[in-house]
Amino acid sequence: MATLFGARLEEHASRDAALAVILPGLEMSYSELLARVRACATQVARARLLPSETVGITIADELAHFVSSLALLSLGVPQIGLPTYEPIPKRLDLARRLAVTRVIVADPRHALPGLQALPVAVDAPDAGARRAPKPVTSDPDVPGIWYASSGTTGEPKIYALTQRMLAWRGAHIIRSEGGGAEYRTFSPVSIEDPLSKNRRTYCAWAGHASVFQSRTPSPPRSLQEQCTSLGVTCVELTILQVSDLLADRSDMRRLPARTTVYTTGAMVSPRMRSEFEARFGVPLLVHYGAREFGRISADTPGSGDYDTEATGPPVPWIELEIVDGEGRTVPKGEVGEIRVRSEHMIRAYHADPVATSRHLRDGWFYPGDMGSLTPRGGLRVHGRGDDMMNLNGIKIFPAEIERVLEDHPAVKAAAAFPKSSLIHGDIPIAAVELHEAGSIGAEELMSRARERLGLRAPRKIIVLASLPRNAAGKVVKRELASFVTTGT
Amino acid sequence: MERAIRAPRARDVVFEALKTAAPQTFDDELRRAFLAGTSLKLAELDMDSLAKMEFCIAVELATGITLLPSQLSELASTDAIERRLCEAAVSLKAEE
Repeated sequence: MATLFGARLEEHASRDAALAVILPGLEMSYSELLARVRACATQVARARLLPSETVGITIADELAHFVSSLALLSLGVPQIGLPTYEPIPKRLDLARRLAVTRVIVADPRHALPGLQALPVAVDAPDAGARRAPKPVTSDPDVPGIWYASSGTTGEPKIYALTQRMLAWRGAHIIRSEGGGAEYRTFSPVSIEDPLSKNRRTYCAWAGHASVFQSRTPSPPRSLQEQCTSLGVTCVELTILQVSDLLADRSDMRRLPARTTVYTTGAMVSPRMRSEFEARFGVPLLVHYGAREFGRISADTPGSGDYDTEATGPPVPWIELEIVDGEGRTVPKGEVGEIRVRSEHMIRAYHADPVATSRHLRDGWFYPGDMGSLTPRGGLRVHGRGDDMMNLNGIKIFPAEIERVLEDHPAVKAAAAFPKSSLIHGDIPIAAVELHEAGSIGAEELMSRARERLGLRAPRKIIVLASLPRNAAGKVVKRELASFVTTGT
Repeated sequence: MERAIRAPRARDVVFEALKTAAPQTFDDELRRAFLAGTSLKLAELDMDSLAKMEFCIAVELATGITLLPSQLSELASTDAIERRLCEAAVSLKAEE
């Protein structure tokens, strides 16, 4: 029996000329995609995978990653992306936590030390792969794709979406984005990023086309050109990409009227939205969500007169409440903690009871953000309820930085804190106290932090004779923040 | 913390920011050329959006001057960035 995604791909492939993937100079139908997925699945199946074994994917090429991911979904083999942009120690740590011993790679240089590389070729589907290999399992409620996110303990939290969850989310999200027959989605963010990957996976479930970036080095194409020439109907941009687009005067054309443009997060100003619409001729829509839970609120395309103080109304396929510290719903307009639940949501983090009890309580998921409902029913997100930093959408926990720095034998104590920036949000800074003065410099610590934390590393490290502490011995971060701002 | 910025200081700030933001492309050869007074073309440094973001963060931390990644696209060379930083510092000082 086929897996949910395996059966779905077969169904799409039986439709004449239904397009699955579009790249500059290449249009691939679902039947062509299916041939590649089967060939890839056949290559992977030769490795004799064990039941419930999780396989890593380290592939930057979008098409190769997409095919490999769909092949594993067709085989019923759980997968986790081990992105090329993450430091190798972090990839190895994720692999260790999920007992991953094998990683699919398209480029042998991306093999990870100590793990078996499973090379796959997705560009030449062989004729012997006409039949799909037998799935390891067709159970739709076992992990389909594992994901990692930041954690309060300093370790990324790990959670899984089952094939049923992916299918359910995909059906709702693509439909809510107006997914008709002409729907084509594009995200100028690497498929190795979970949000971008999910968008492509949802699109494959819904049987529409994903537009990928060129596989070969080529002159940059403007968004207008990309959308016009490749027939894109739905684009997802980060807030920084929106900001870049507004400043870029090289192509002053408007976007085709059919284009729906989404950005995500709570930091989208009404001014940015109005500037975007004036410049590109289409509204900038906003959605808000949590990777673990999925979409929570979103503007509805075509509804017009958007509530620019909000991140859209809560989506209709979930339940949302704003509650006080006791879990009681607060009156409309008052600020409280956001909590949500849905038919198909995660029930726990992997081997992390602390994170599970913090974010999943009484059948609700708590993203950790504070919010309120506007008079028009939109969800306004006010920010974090805890001390998490948000650097251009990258969520960073102080404990994560402190742990890496304190892991160095020369460091006695570390404290991470944000420096507020109008442009970037929270710029993470760290102060350290050494066991022995002069035993290590800030540059060496920065380099170590970058290696371990990647984009979540502090952007400045200050070495102090001693960290400011209160009577109880707790570091007073407020004083550190003041030191960075005023120098005193 | 640091508001006043003069041309030599701006050059130091740009140098340090490039080391952070473009560690691969801002190689020894370019560093030597920069330190010898050459103005580098930003295109030579092949900075993607992430590198531009890191550059702006480094500048902001060193000077308090906010620079949008997109503004870097308008500035073709390191000399142009230095001029922008000096101008911004003057405006900031006037505001204070």
